Amino acid sequence: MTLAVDAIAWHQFFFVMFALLTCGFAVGVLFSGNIVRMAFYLVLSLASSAGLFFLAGAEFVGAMQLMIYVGGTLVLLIFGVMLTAQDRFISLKTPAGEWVLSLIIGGTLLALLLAAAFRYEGWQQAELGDTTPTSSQADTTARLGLSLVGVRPDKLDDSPRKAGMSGYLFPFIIVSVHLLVVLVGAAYMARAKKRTTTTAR
Amino acid sequence: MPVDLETILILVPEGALILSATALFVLGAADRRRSWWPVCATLPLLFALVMVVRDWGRPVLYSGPLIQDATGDTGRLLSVVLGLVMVLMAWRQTRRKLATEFFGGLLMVVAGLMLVSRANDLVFLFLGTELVSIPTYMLLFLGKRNRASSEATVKYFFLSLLASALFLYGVSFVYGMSGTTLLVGSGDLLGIRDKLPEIMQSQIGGLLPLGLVLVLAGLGFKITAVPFHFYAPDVYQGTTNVNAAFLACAPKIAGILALTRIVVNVVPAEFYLGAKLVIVLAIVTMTVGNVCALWQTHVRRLMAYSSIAHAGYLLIGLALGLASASSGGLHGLSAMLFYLVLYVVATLGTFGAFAYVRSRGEEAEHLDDLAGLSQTHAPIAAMLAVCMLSLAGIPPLAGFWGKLTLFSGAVELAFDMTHPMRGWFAVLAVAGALNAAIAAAYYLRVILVMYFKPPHSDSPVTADHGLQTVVAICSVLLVLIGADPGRLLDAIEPQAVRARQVPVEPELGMNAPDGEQIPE
Amino acid sequence: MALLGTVTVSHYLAVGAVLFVTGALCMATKRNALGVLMGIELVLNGANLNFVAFGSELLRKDNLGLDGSLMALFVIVLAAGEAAVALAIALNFYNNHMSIDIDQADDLKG
Repeated sequence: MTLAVDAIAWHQFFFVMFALLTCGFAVGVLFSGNIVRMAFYLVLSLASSAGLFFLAGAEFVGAMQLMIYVGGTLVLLIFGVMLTAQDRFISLKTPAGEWVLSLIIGGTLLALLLAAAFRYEGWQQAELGDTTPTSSQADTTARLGLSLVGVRPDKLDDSPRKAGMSGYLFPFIIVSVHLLVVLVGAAYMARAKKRTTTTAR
Repeated sequence: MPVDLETILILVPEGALILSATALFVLGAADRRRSWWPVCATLPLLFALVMVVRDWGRPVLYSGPLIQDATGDTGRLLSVVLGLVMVLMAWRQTRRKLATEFFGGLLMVVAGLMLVSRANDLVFLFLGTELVSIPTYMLLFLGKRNRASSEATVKYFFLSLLASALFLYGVSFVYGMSGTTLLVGSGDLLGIRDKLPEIMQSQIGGLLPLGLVLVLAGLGFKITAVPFHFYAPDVYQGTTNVNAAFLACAPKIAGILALTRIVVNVVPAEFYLGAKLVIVLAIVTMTVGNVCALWQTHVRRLMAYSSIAHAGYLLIGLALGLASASSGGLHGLSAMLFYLVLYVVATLGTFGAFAYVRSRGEEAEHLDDLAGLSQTHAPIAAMLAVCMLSLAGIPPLAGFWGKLTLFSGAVELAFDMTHPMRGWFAVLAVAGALNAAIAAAYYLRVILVMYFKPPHSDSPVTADHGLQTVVAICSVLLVLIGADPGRLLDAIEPQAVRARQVPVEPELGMNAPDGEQIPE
Repeated sequence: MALLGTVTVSHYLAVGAVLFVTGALCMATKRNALGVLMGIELVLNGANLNFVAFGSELLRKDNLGLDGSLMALFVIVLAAGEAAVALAIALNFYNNHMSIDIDQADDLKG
């Protein structure tokens, strides 16, 4: 029994599973005509890509993907779908000619990107046995948090100047400013909406 | 190791702008009257202006994600001046109730532009361009609220998001290849430019063209280059004249500054694939812009196509920068910045004049609204004519020198017998000259309407002194620069060169001894 | 599984490429404004996969540090912000046009 378990390369197995789920549901989003189904497929696709993040050792990003993206952004999107979903807008068909054209272009683009992805063979996998998952798990979050306030624990053995220069304090502040603008903007637009409807009627 | 104090000190003006914008947003909610808010927006801008002028011409300094050099200085000065001019234009044009949101958003955009002009890191560059676009979505709504403006916003928003997504996807490849997002390193810290020779040697360099094309496509949206141009006419038409002035300038400044940074630092010398792509895009962009502008009767649509055409001219400078790593390419890039300054000045003046003219209580929309302007408001008509002639590139004015420096760069490469792309540049130069001739037609048509059509009985103006001042300043600037273009060009010229004076292919591991203070 | 060999950055890039292309096609073909937004989310997610894979400690030996993860975090946060704006804009459009079909956005032509 243990032999059979060991024979399966679990890392590969989970990668293939999550990759197929991610791509499959993404294609589902593309080919589904119904907006509600599209939203559902998108949730599944993004959730399975969180699995890929976990497999790549970026646990914190994976968790954020689940919490912010799947839990927040997509709920927002689904709200949008519900607020605007009337019978005649639930499925809007795309003309066939447009499909053919975009599939040809998309296929070419995909071939190009895949060729580029597999062109460089120098990526080597680090020895998985060396790093126990628990140890890296334990400090990813702390290290990410420190990086956001300008300290780079992953570069501490570099010269002090080098470590300090690549801190992420300013991007962090700028992103928070973005969010402030978004809040003000979205609130403003929501207010604007009410006013236009009352004057329109 | 925490962030350097040095970096924080460099960012004082940006910080002041962001803090005041935040204060405007928060305090604005408490005050209903909102009559003195434009003053509150002017003060931080004036402070930033003083700081920028004080910092002008400091030695090149790399400080983490920021770079202090003359490109940055030019960009910062241009952004602050744009901010001040926009405040003047919007002073009386914005509804009181929305004043804080408008001016707060404006300050944010100016801060974003200043960050972009100094960014030495792709993350910073991306966040800076986003800080320009997100408030823009809001500003688009603040002009008017009707079907047209909501449609304009939807178009602008989705295309802008697409552009950011393309840019990010491209950045991810650049990052994966070079292992860093820093553009130019200092000390023992390596940036993309320092690693470029090694990357190009290795097999992994194959990812670079892909990443760069995506990045250039993402930034192409910002400067309304084909195929991302079609939103511009609709969006300009759907908004107000003041907002259109803003849209015609702010994203273009951001896009051109970002492109300059990337071309100077990330692009390997003689990136011919990119240069060919840019040449084709430049020719298509300027032709589409100019030809479509010929039969426009709506003033903002006309100016939108004109802005597309000017994006085409600007791309000439980019193509020069991509095709030639020698001084020719650098002159191309500085010609591009020079042209950008002239374009921004002339466009602000034009939209200021359009906003000044009212017809039947509405903003000037159709070309006919300008009829007989020379008789009703002679000074404004004359100043608008100056802006138009400068955009058309008629000799004594500034626009002519802008076109001349750009085209002469292309002609120079076309006659350079050793350059492998001379045929391409010959075609580009001819196309540029033909386009300048087409463009003259529609700019002159505006002047004809103003001077030779009888005026409407009712075309009262707003008596807005802010707008009058803006138009006057812009047209005087155009005449002055036209009289002595060398002075401005000199102020801009050395910067791109200075930016490249850092050793282009430093020995890996050993850089300039001192690291950050590169002597000029 | 043997056919796949070890999982490398290339495989992640391939998944990212599929997300990118489907997202781009979504934006090109969908007529629903929210469908277009979903396409953008897919493209951004493709970029995120690239960032994480390139920066991953498990997938490559030359450790790049945390930059990739941090970029991915910024992208996630920005995408959240932009989805909020998108929702506001889409609702505004819907209220003005009584439709979410962006092909009906054709008032502005000339």
